[in-house]
Amino acid sequence: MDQLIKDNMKLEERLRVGFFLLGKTRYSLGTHAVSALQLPTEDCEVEHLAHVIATPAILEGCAGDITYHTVEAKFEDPVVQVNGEQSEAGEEYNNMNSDDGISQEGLRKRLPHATGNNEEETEVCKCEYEDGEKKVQGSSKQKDKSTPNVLNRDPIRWFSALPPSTLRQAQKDFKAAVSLVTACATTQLKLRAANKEFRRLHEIKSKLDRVEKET
Amino acid sequence: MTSGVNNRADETKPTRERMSVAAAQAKLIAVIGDEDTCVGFLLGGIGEINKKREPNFLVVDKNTSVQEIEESYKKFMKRDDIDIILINQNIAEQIRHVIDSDNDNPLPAVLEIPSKDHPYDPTKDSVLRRAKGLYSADDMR
Repeated sequence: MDQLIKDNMKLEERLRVGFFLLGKTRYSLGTHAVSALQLPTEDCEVEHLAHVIATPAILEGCAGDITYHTVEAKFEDPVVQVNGEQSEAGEEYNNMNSDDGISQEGLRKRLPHATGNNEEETEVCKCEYEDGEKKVQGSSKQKDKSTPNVLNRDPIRWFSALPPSTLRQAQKDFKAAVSLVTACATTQLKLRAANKEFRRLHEIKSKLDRVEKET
Repeated sequence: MTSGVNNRADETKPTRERMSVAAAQAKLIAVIGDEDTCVGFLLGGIGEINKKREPNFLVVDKNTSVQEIEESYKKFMKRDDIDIILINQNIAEQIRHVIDSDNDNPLPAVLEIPSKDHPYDPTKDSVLRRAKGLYSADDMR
């Protein structure tokens, strides 16, 4: 129980920092830029980038097989390559972004017109914007139509095309919070398994006590 | 012959290994919370809207009714692709009777998390209250 409370306190601390950074971002971008208005609605399909995997484990220190589940968080790379014919997800994502007036193709088209140092800077900026992946760096330089499109599914783009550092930091904090959530879930499931076993043993003990009293 | 031998080998595989293979499937985290909580966790990448147009999150504001929260909670509990449900503790208080009645399955795990305006209170947490209630003075003798 103490472990669960400690995990929850750590989670609360991390969330508090995240909320503070979201507030700072609202101050710079505007209240409506970072709000529920930017979240996807039921009109479009959105893929998750973070999921959990639950694996069974045995509770140590107890006689008998008391199993519970350990939960682990996994994060996917938001940048994916979409080959030639766009996948359904790619099409839907582009449809989502078309309203912004900013699309992947539009960004890529800007690069050839940049000259000298500016060209390098724009390429570097694009890499930072798309999480600094080397794959992105390679694909941004390619201009052939046959090369695969790069699709960025990062949810930070729902809020801003050029997210400020406070929003990026908030995203890191919330990702850390997701890992803490899985730790809390594991502890909670362990506690639940231990409680169930305690109840079972308590029932056996009460039955034995009753039999003893009768004899 | 070879396939027969292989089948026999699979049958003799320990149950735990088979269980672990089946259990290692990607599942989602659902969120029922206020605007900041939902925005934050969706920024972290847990958000999904599947092909049936079902989101795994619910933004609760002052106009959201208790019935809507209950329905959403029950839908998330029924879904087999959700393993964790995050719910703000102050919102969980509104549907406490529903949360406390779901005791059978360990998954999906329901975690009560603090919100921006309401800090975490361990005395209100369902799991901790149930755990504390198991231990009475007689059991300590």
